[in-house]
Amino acid sequence: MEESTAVSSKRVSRPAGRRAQVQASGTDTVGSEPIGSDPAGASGPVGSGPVGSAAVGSGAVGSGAAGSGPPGPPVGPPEPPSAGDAGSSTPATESGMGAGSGAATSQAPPEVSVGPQSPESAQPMPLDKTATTAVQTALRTENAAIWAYALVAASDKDDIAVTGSMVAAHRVRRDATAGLLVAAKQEAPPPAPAYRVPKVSNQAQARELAIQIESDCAAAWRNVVGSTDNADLRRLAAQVLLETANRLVRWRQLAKADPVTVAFPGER
Amino acid sequence: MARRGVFAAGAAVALSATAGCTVFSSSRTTRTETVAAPPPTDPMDNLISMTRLHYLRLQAGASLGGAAAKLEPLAKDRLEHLKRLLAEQARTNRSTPAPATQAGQTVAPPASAAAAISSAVDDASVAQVAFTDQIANVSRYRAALFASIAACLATHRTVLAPS
Repeated sequence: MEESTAVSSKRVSRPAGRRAQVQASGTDTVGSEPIGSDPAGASGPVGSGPVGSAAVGSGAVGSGAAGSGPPGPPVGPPEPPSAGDAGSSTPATESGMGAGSGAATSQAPPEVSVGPQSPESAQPMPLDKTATTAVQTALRTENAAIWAYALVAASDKDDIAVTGSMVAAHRVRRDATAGLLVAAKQEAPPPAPAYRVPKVSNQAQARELAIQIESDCAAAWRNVVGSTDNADLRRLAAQVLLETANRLVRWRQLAKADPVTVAFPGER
Repeated sequence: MARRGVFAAGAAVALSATAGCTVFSSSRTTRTETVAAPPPTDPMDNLISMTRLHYLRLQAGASLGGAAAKLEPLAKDRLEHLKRLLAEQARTNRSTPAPATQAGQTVAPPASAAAAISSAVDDASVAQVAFTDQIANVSRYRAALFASIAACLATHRTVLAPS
């Protein structure tokens, strides 16, 4: 807690009145709420079980590197070099990222599908307070993912196509999630100017960061599943969790992690 | 005034006849008897059985070695799923979790590594659907657990898919 508080004071400038989006480097999580600040994970049956412990912000990946040394965040431009742009002009080579089945197809197009449960095409989904908080946290995590993937692209030239397609998927998901909140007449938190991330200077670190990004997103969407009784929202969040888990495994394959799969994606 | 009364009485009689009410009816009062529905089946039983079977199949396939060796980490995942499901069932039943593995529980190994992998993909698909189907019907905690397991199973299919 002390570390988190101390690092929080180093936050880069952000609009007043917004909740913290710049993650403390000591927690080694990209762009999410500080530990313990998520009401969705602290209330109801979810908060009392493993799901609550999987609240975004507990970053499990690369924890050794995060707290060491000065924070190495690129606090420069609000929007770093866009990896999505690079990816959109190159053919995607990743597989197994299709929305829906999660099955791998090596010739799959870039993953931009949001699935049949796209919030934009659906009726406004009523959200209670707990679900709203969880979805807002997920949106913040998606914003952070888009921002952080630019760093991945900058340090991992070999996987630029993979990165691009994944950024495109996160952009679509971000827009869909914002649309979901707006349709429910809830606030859609805007992206922060910058996020504090571990130092990324080579390909291995970039892949570790990508794994962390997807782990955070998986945790956020798993939290959404466990924060609501709305069947449609559960299905939507489960679908996103599935897509995120596939991206996570893709990065773990590239990083030659062992084991490649994770028994409970989104749980920490 | 009298004519209006006659018309009103006629209308009342016609309406009663339409509704099936007549003073000359000899039928008894209709009673509706509702049979109590059977208690809902806990989906955990089926999911646990399925997970146990798939775990045993993965283990049998992994024992073939070679290309089927990549089933070993997937079997570990399924064993973790099984343990968690048993723990969750025991939590709600206020009992002690049953052991995930028991001596003597085996299945016949597939004929070849390719058959083992194919079987594992099919099992993962079936299990993913089974867990996904229950997400909307269970408690919040279980929904999150099932969603996570379903996502894991999707990654199994990805890992096993031919590259």
